[in-house]
Amino acid sequence: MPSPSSSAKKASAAKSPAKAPARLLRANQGARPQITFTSDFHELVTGDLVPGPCSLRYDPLRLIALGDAAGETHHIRAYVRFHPSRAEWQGAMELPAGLPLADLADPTGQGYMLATTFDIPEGTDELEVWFSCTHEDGHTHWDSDFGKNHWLRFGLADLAIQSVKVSPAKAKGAAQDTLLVDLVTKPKIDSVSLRWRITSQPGAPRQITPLVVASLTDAGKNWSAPAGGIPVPRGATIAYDLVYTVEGRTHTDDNQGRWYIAD
Amino acid sequence: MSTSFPFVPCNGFTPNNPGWSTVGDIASWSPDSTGRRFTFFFGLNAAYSLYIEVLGPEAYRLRFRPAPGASYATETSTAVVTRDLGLAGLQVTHSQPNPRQLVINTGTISIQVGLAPFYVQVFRGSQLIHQDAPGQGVLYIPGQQVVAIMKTAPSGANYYGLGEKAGAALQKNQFTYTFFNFDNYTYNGPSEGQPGPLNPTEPLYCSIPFLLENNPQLNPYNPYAGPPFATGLFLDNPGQTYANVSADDYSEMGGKYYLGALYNELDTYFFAGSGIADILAQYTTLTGRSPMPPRYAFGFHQGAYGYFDRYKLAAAANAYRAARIPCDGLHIDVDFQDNYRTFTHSELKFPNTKELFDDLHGIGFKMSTNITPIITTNVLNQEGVKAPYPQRDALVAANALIYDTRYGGGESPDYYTGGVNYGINYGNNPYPYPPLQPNNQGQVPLTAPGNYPDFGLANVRDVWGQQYQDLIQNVGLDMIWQDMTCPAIDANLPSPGQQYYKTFPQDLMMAQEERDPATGQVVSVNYLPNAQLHNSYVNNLLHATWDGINQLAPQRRNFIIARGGYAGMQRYAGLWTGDSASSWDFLNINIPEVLNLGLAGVPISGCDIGGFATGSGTTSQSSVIGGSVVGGVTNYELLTRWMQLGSFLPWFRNHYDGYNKQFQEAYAYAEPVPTNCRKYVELRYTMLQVYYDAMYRWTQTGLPICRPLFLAAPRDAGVYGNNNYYINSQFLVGDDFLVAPILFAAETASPPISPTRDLYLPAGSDWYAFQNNQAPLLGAVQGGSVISYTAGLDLVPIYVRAGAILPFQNLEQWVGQLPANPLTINCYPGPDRWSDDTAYQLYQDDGITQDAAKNGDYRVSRIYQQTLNADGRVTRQIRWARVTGPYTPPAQFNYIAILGSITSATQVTRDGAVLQNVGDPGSLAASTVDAWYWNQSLNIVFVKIFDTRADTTVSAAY
Repeated sequence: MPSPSSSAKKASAAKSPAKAPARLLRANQGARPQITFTSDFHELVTGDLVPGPCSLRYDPLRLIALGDAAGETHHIRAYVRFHPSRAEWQGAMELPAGLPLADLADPTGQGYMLATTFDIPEGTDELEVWFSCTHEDGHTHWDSDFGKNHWLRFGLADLAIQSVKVSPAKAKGAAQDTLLVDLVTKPKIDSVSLRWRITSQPGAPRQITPLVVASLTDAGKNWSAPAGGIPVPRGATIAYDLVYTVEGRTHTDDNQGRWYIAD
Repeated sequence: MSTSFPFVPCNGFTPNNPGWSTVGDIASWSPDSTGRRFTFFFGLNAAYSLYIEVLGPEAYRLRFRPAPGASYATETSTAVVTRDLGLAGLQVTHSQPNPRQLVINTGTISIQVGLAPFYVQVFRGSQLIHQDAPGQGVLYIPGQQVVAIMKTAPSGANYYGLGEKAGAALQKNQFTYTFFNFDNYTYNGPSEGQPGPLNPTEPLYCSIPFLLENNPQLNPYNPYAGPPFATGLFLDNPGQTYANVSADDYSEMGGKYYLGALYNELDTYFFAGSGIADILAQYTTLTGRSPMPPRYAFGFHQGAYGYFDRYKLAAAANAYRAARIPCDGLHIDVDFQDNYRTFTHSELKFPNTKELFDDLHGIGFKMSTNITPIITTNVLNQEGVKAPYPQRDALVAANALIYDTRYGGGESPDYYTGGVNYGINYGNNPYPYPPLQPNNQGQVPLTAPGNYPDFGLANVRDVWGQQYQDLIQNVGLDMIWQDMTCPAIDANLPSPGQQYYKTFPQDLMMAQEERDPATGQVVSVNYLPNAQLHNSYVNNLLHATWDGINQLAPQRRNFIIARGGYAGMQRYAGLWTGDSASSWDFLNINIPEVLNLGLAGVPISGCDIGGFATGSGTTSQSSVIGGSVVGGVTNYELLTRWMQLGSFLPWFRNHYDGYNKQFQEAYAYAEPVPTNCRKYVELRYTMLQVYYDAMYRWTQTGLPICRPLFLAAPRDAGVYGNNNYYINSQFLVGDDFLVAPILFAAETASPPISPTRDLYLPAGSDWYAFQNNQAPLLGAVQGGSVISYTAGLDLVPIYVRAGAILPFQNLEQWVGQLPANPLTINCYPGPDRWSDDTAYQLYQDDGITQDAAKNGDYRVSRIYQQTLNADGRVTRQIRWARVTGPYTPPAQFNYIAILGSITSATQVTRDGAVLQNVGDPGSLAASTVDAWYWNQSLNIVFVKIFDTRADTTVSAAY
């Protein structure tokens, strides 16, 4: 039974100013984190790196073929190691009571998410995640990126986008505008690439432009586009995401699947 | 903070456990100046109060705000439109026969209030008809907002209503329920036990905590012995609410039931009457009724997520006309929009949309599209360029969007941003949705982020309504498909601990208007968390849409079909029951679900026929081959049976997910599916007037269009026979048309079985097997009989009550196809219906304009029939008398069909004048004067009468 009384009193003055806020540039900034392992082997990190509860969702079809799910029970366990503390958490993924896994799998093969929650400790920078699945025959299979484990970072914590904008050419009759980039990352970020495309030309290939370190301070690295900017067609609308590496591992910040749109 | 407002499952809400407080002894009480409201003070320092207010001769309100010093000066309900349930001339008296009791008498019922302790009983004369559960009654936990009201469930009482709920049982006895508007895709949401369509404990899209109790008194017993009676109890509370009808899911609930809520007030309305109809009349007065919808709303409709361009849409439209399967509505999903911008349409995908709609209007289609309450933040249009979004700009300018202010937090300067998830484009839809891109498997997850209007404010509702302007006035949209009404929000958005909600965070603050009950004027605005207002969001959305489209198209009758609602939603919209899946289980819950919606005040509802999503009745997994979806087809037998059942339910729409199903339109199947479906779509169209008349009756009385068997025979125990199988799987359209569809696999069962079912014909009437005037009537079957009926895929078991009067019309491919469509009044032999009370009531208007509602341009007639036996001669008389209204139907003549004429009439007269027997149907059709003929092969005398007299009687002598 909840105890809502203290929180259910009439609130006042909740209506905010009449001035419209700017549209959010970065989705889910400050939101509690959620990590999703999909059946098609994507590892999706959404939300922000906020200490406290983190939702972990896992599609069991990553470890169990749908055809093998019928008539057998399987025990899936999640393991999380927090870096740099190396503290660990592990827990069973909660299956609804009394249901064989086969009944949970969508008949069209779209899968079913198991879910649990763990707490991210203060000071965490990176998560290392893997899973095990023990079958009735006693064998155990692992979802661990072939032993390397899944290393997950939060773009919202690693990258601060100062400005990414299309700067109009000043010269009359110029053929191209310039895409300018200004972002700051944690110092440990080794490389950053801007993957961009022109949204009005869906058939055009996506471009990948490695960024260069413009300056380095204790607070982080400042990155920009090489050679003073990336030439783009005049008036182009640019969608982009950011691919970056840390200790040789690649991570992507695609604005939680929504891409960023250059100003 | 959001975890302060958890979703609580049915068995987590536990007012039957120890620890809840009762009202206890009343410290003082007093009537107000009207003499109808009695306020009771109780608790420590008499700080708590509640009141009982008489609203009519058989209704009262009990209102309790569980806080010391509570004020009851204002109202906030989105459900209630009037609390006058018969106050004119009502004399309410009260007395105190002893110091421990107050008796409030309305002249019809007496409310006996125990004062030490507080305890409510209701009597009709000397007959006890309702009482609190001893030692419980009003329950609360001091310092919290949880409230409940515990009642005694009389032995033999049956319970109905509660609106949209899963489960295959019509009766609510022995089940427990929760109400929290929820995007329950394929009914697999949070539940006690295994989720699925058969589990009634899940929250669904629409919440109506209104419970009907029917006491047919089949075995009268004390202390309730006496004539049959019914009661109703409505808990008006937009937070998460509960009902438990003697379900022992966490405690012993035998002989009791309760309604309760997590937050807000205990605001209950009690109704009493002789039967269910009395209760519905009061409830729908309290929560309102709509005007007559456009007639096409009762036609057949087709929708698909996947009619993503002009060519797909036109192909479906043309295929319906080519297949000669009547169809009125075409429903285009969010595919219609420019890059998921609500209120827009795509000229890329639907070039020259206005012209296209004009063309489709020309062949009878009425157009609809999905309007979801999200305003996307995506700055790109479908061409991938930053483009203005005027509708968003208008809402922003009006400060109409919800800010991300959370309960207990400071004001946020940002809008709350959620999002919609429209599934995955596996490659069948070639159109761009910038900036969305294919993933590494070539699939595009279709999503859009966005903000949401704060519909609790009148100015926001106004601005929202104005945004339909382009669609209504320029594009030519006819009706609104209001979707994602909870609102449904992408389940994949991060929300730890809230995985069940798929909607606003519970702590998101929203507006609620407080009104002066006397003037109706807003006196203040509250900002409360979604947890307290959740179920009312949809009512405010529907209100906004309804007012908006009626202002934009004031001359025509508008229509909304919605995927969710709260009590009172029927004022604005019909309801479809959400994302069903293709399974026999979903087919089986269709009847109880729609009937109980009707018993909760919603006259127009229906299921997505065939199932929106794939399910166990899907024959193969789908894939995209060559840019088209292949597979995912619904089992032909399931589709046929579902089309047949749906043809008799108020909202009749086949609707499917075309991104995962190759097709689901009946015409796309091989024969005999189109033929077997067409037959019942055609029947729907020929008997459309029956639905229209039943709808009109609802506008006057609240009696639903489709009715459970017990309404046809209130004292007949047989309807509850076979473990309630009959009431769960049969129903009536109007008063006299009984449908008992086949709801199981036979041909495609493994092994195949006979499509044979038992059906029950209610006692008190004789019944004729329905022949649709294609064959002579067979002998009448006595009511009280069980029939074993074998019905192949071309047949639905149907019976018509002896003495029925059923107006049919010529077949149209769409409503209004024929400029004039005469009625054929089918008069079945049977008991006389020669009084105003028993006569059939016929309602006619133009079906599409507001002339009837605004100018009274309609016609109500009564049709009577009787059989006279004099001097060995039988004469059957039919009287057709206008009651009111200046409307003149286009048809200059109509027909009366006197069924059961096993011999030819010897003479037919109209108002004493002998009519000519023209001998054959062709001559009758060609006759320019009143005439008749006897169809020997059908045993029907057809009489043609011109619509020239306000009151006319036809007599056929044999």
